[in-house]
Amino acid sequence: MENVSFTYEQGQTALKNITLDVKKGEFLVVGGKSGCGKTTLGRVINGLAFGFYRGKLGGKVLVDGEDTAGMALWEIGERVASVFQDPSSQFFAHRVRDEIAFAAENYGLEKEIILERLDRITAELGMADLLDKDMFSLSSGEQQKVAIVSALIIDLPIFVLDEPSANLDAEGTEALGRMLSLFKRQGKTVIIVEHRLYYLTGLMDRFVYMNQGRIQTVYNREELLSISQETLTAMGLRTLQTPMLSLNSRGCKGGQPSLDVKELTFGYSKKAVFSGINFEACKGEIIALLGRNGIGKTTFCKILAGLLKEKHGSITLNGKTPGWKQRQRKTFFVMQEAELQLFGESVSEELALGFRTNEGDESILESLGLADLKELHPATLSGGQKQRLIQAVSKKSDRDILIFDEPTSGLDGENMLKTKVFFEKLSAEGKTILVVTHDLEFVATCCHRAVVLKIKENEWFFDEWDS
Amino acid sequence: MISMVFDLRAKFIVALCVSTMTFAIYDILLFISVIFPLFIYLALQEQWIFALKRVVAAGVLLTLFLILQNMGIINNVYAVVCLLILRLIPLSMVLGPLFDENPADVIGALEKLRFPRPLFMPITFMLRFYPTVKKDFSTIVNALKIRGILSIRKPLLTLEYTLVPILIRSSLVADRLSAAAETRGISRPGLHTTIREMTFKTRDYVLVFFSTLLTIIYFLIEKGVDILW
Repeated sequence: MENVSFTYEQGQTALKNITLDVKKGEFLVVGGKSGCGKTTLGRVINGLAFGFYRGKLGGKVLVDGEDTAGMALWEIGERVASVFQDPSSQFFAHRVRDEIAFAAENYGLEKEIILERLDRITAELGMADLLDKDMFSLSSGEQQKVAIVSALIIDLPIFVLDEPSANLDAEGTEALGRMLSLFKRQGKTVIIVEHRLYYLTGLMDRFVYMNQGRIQTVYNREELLSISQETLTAMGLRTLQTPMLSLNSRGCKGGQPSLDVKELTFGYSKKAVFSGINFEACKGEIIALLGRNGIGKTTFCKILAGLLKEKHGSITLNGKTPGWKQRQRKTFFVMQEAELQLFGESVSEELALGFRTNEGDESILESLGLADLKELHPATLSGGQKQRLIQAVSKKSDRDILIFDEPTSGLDGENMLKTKVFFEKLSAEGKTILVVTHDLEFVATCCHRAVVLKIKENEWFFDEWDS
Repeated sequence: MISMVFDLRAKFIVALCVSTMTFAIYDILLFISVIFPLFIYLALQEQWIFALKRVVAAGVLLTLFLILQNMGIINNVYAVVCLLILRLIPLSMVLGPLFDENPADVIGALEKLRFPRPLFMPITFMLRFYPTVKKDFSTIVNALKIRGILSIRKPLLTLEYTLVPILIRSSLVADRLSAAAETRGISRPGLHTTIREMTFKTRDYVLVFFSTLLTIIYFLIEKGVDILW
């Protein structure tokens, strides 16, 4: 890249004077705070910035010595493979086998060649049993693997990955790391834009730190590892070490638990989702709910929140046992997709919706850094801001049990810390906070207790986390 | 249980026949009788529960329509609504199962039918979107319940609360999907290969023959009815 600048059609300048050489076979990690331009950097390499999102490109982007400016997206796609942040919105086919073949079919590879490679590569990666499954039924980690394998079939030399671990659990992230190390051994060039850094420290050759559309510093691995945790935090970066949990459970200081779940059972017609779950939480506790994808964490939370009716068992809130629909008024569940949970025409209206008074709105918005955005439509906010707005609503609801599903997915270090501060305030007010998350770094910084939902011989139970 | 798999192209032709009838056959009794051959067609593909539900719905709506028809102006409005839904039932019977088809198969089938690409790309997008929209819709309803702003008494507001986020989210997902598709060569000119088998078997010819024949018969009966009146 020679002196590359990029301004989106809407007028926002995302990149300024970027000059960067990536060698063949190099493993490059790009990081920085949200909005620093790192995603656009990836998009300039795979052509999406100017070929799809549109805008003005300055300078030159050369891939294998060829200027990509005059190429169609499919031509760049023959050289550069792209993997995106949200695995659920990058696949087309319903069946895994078809999805893996999708790009190869588009590029007109012979059927026999596609099938041969498909069988070989999926066998190598231990994915053969996935081939006939439905894409929609896969976990995010599996979907992300399929996206990568699809690019492997057409044997591209360069990979651009945009926050590929944002939606993955610890296991999925590890598997992704293993896959990437395979690329490295095969001599592929990898450019990866990422917030989560710990799984990449062993792989990276260089780390590019971006700030306000510019490359601020380029580090090699040793230089990056020598940076202290305080400096990393100030840079808005996440930890470089695999997070270790050392939690201190506070226990219920006298009095009854605020949430007491006994023998909870749930299932659809004949199939049990889980049965016999016991769980207890106290006032002021911040508890992480962990467990592999698909084990039923979200379903458990939906039942707590009164969105689903339990089959058997009891749920006691502060000593009372309300009916399942009444739980909708006693708990607040913040689900994953923030944009599906915002209904107002402005930030301040959002906070007023469904409440009788506007009292305290100002200070809530202030505390979450949204005070200057009051007049904006929620749809125009950034991902992190949308998350905080729905968190503001949850605070205003003043319910005793607050449940958050993946509140930090895709957040940089800085925004993660804001979420931590917010949770700690709620905890100080005596709220009980349950966090469904894969983000171990967040659990380590903010939670008092972590429990893992497990299944053993058809018995479900919460186990205290043991690292 | 019999289970027959028809070629997608044959299914498209059935869908085409039924949509032609939806617009060309005015006599509602005659038109709605098409659900019986459609029931058999779906039952052959092991989708008889799906089909039966629609047959029952059609029966209920038809009865309602016949009762409401002669009961004053206000009820007439309801009668027209019944009629509209009734008219869409056969179409839903042939189009519904297509939503479960693999988009790649659909592209392949339409390509072989020599459908122009710009016309069928939106169709495949729609097929891909259907499960996503279904999931998003339930998330929105849940969010409204949690916030306590889901109200049947204010249907317009509720409609606004559901539609706006769905549209915003869909345009976001559509952007991501098409960006991903573009980087994977979907717009590449020239022949795209396919790893799926696609063969037009005898049963497909029979299916196409019968659905075309039936359409013509219906059309002729409709003309006859017109003459009688």
